[in-house]
Amino acid sequence: MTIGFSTRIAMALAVILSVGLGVTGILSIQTFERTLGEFLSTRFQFVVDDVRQRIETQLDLGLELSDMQNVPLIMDAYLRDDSQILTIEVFEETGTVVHSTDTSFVGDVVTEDWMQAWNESGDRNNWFLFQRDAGVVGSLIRDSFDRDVGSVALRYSRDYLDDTVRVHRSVLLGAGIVNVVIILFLALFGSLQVLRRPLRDLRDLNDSVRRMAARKFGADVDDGDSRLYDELPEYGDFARSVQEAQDLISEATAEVRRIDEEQAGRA
Amino acid sequence: MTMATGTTEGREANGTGGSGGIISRHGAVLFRIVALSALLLLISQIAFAWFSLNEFEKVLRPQLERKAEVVGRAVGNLVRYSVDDLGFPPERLVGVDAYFTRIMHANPDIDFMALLDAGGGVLSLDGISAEDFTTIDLSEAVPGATVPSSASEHVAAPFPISVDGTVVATLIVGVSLEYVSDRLSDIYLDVITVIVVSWLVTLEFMLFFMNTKLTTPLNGISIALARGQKGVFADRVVSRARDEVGLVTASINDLIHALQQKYDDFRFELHEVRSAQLDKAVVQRVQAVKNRVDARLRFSGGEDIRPSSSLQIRIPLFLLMFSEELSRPFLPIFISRLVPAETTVSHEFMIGFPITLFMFVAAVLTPFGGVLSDRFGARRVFILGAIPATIGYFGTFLTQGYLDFIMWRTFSGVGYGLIFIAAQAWVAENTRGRHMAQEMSVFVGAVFVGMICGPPFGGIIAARLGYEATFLLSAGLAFVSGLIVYSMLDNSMGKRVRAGTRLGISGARMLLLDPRFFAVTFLAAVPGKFIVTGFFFYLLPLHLNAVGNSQSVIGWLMMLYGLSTFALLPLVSRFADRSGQYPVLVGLGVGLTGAGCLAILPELGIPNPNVAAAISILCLGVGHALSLPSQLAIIQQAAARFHGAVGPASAISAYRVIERLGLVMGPLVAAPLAIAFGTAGAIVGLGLITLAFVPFYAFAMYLSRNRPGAAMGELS
Repeated sequence: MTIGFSTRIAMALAVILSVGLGVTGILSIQTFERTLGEFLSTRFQFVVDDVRQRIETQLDLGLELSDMQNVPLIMDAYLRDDSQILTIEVFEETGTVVHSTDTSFVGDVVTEDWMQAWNESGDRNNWFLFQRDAGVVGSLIRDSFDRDVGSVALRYSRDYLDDTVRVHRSVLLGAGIVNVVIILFLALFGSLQVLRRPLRDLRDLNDSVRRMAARKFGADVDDGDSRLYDELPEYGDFARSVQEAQDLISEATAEVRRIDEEQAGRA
Repeated sequence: MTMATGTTEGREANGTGGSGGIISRHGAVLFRIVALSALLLLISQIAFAWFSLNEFEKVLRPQLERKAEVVGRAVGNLVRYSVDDLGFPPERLVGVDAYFTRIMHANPDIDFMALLDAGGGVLSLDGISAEDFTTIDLSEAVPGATVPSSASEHVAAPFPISVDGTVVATLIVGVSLEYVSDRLSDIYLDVITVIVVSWLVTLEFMLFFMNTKLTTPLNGISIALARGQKGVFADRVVSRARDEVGLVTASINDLIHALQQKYDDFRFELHEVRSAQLDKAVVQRVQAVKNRVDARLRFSGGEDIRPSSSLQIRIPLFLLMFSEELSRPFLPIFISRLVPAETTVSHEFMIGFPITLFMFVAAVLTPFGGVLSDRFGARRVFILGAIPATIGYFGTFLTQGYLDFIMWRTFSGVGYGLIFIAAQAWVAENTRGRHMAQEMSVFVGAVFVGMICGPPFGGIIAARLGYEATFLLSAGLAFVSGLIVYSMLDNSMGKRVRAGTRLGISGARMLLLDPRFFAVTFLAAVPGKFIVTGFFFYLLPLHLNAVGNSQSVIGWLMMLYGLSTFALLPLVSRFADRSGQYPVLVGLGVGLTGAGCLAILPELGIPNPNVAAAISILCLGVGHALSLPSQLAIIQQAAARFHGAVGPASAISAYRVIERLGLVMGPLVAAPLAIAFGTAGAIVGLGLITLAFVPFYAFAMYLSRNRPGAAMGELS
């Protein structure tokens, strides 16, 4: 069974256009997720920066990090106001948590990931971490001698980000499918239009070649063949050459037979 | 016996005849189908992008308003604390302006802040003029919720500050709508990048598909017809297609077979008659009949016509380039993780070393790749290169430490070096006659598309699946690339090139003493690469960053280089082949790349630095489109002039080795210039240095104009 050329083209267009749109969709969603993540983190960055500034003011007044009584109150206020905030914590340079909106964390040591992100933040004031279940925004606490004495870290839920991205992915998937269907229809229609004449030529060419193979000596060309000869001059030259070859061999065979019969007659 | 036939040969075998039929004008059908798919994809992508951006805006704008609420609440609490707990009346608060300024400085999305007294009088205001502020109607505003201002540049949210139930002051936080527009502009640029990247990938695959299914098989038919016109009915067109093209191929093969059968029958009868005859005169008459047929027709010594095309290498090469470019955005970061904590040399050196080693290995392999391609054929060398490339990427995926990484990257470098030359050798093997630049643009185009498309994909995959997974994908792509070459490219190509064409000392000496080869490598290719690494890779990102562009804008501007080159390559290379003015185009290209850098010069009065940079980048892209295919065409001409003493792949590999001098020199020259004159001054300096090569190049070409083979006609 043969699959027609236009069907192959339509199938190829279907696959390639779907992949092209799929790639556009994936890259668009990726861009959206990154931008939305940045929009979210800028809000949380403001919160950690505000907490950090208040802590640094008190450090300048000579208070110890662990002795700041109002820090948990400020952090709790932010936690209450924003349901996406999971916890806000303040830890020392050793990684020990000294204040947290979840008091059970106080005294614990933060994870290695946090310490690494904090250490790698270098001269920047903020550090960021994306974990499987939460995003983390941190801000470096520096004393009046510009020494790093700890960090404020805010964990926020990725649920909103993930849910929003999921919803958009579904919306875009639906839009993409509609788009693909419309485009495929146009692609099929367009490719059939573009290929109509070339495919007709190929089919006629195939018929003509087959007729030529079955041609008897001296037979005239078919009307369809003469059209092809005009429209495909290279095929016309080839066909004339084939006819010449067929006739030449037929004539030669006939001549050999004639010689043979002459000799047989003489004998 | 097998005959592999390139596109150009097929075209020429076909002659110029044809009034628009499928055989002689299949290029037009190819163009229409590819143009149709490109147009449809573009329309659908733009519609899709427009829809998705609208959706994005709906989500992003409320996020800014949430930010305004958080800021308003935080600052409001502080004011309330000062007024209520500390007892300062709002009008006597000091340092409020400075506090507002500090917040706005740290939060570019906050456009203005104002503190009003109980009667609505302005106590503090920052980020907006008093006149504009009065245009904001807050009379119907819900506390903590934003209202659009009539100035329509921002939305404002009022935060009443109450003490014992009485509003003593109101804080107003304005969010910049311009900030939303700016961020959306960044997304627009990203989406344009996305569209361009996926569009190019789609086009590559469509071109490959059409070439495999239509152009190349029709080329085989065309060759069979051309040979039949000359009375040669001894060949068979090899085709596995089962569509209309395949049916025509099969019918032509059947027809040729029927003719051969008819001839065999004739010979059998002739043999019978001749063997039965004792009369010499009769035997001579019979023989004369046979001679008459044999003089006109030929049925023996048949060959398998296996049509091939330079385009066939494009997808495998694209996949390989793509696989290498996938890791481009994060490679230094990935290496930095592997660098041991305790090292005797600097951390930066340890990061840069594997990258340099990769390029070094690829450069060292270049001449060997050329020699191997000339000796064993490009196909075999490509497959040979795909093996270490795949092993290297797979090893990098499994890598545990810095030394492992270096070893696996060396493997990849070996593969990359071999394939880079083998692909060019394939194009050279399939290039005949007057289409050298067009055929070479196939190679340059695939490299550029890989360079444009790889990094954005790599960044996304790395962000989603991790760095290691990206290397695994690279390994898979390199393997597929080798597999395509193994299964789809003809095995007989290497037989065309004679053994003994390898580039020995005498061959290298011949090339270097050839004034055209010397001019095009040392005076055109070297400055051409020098400006790529010095200006484009090194100085341009620094300059664009210094004038305040985001990564999206920088990335988009830099993409203009690849896009302009890619878009112009087919047109320019066709013009180059038609006119035969390869040396002139190379000179123009080099001159344009140098002149483009001068656009950065402030004295030229281009007010927007991004416009100036875009002009420089476009000049670089257009300059390279003008120059690169013509350079390769001149190299092939140089190889052809030695009549087999130097193979085309060897000549190309020699050219590539010399060209890499420019790559190395770029940053070495750019760095001290940047220290002395700043990045903009250094860019202008690099442009002037490049321009200085042009008169020397022109002089060298002028001197060589009368040498044998200098004229295009002699070679084609």
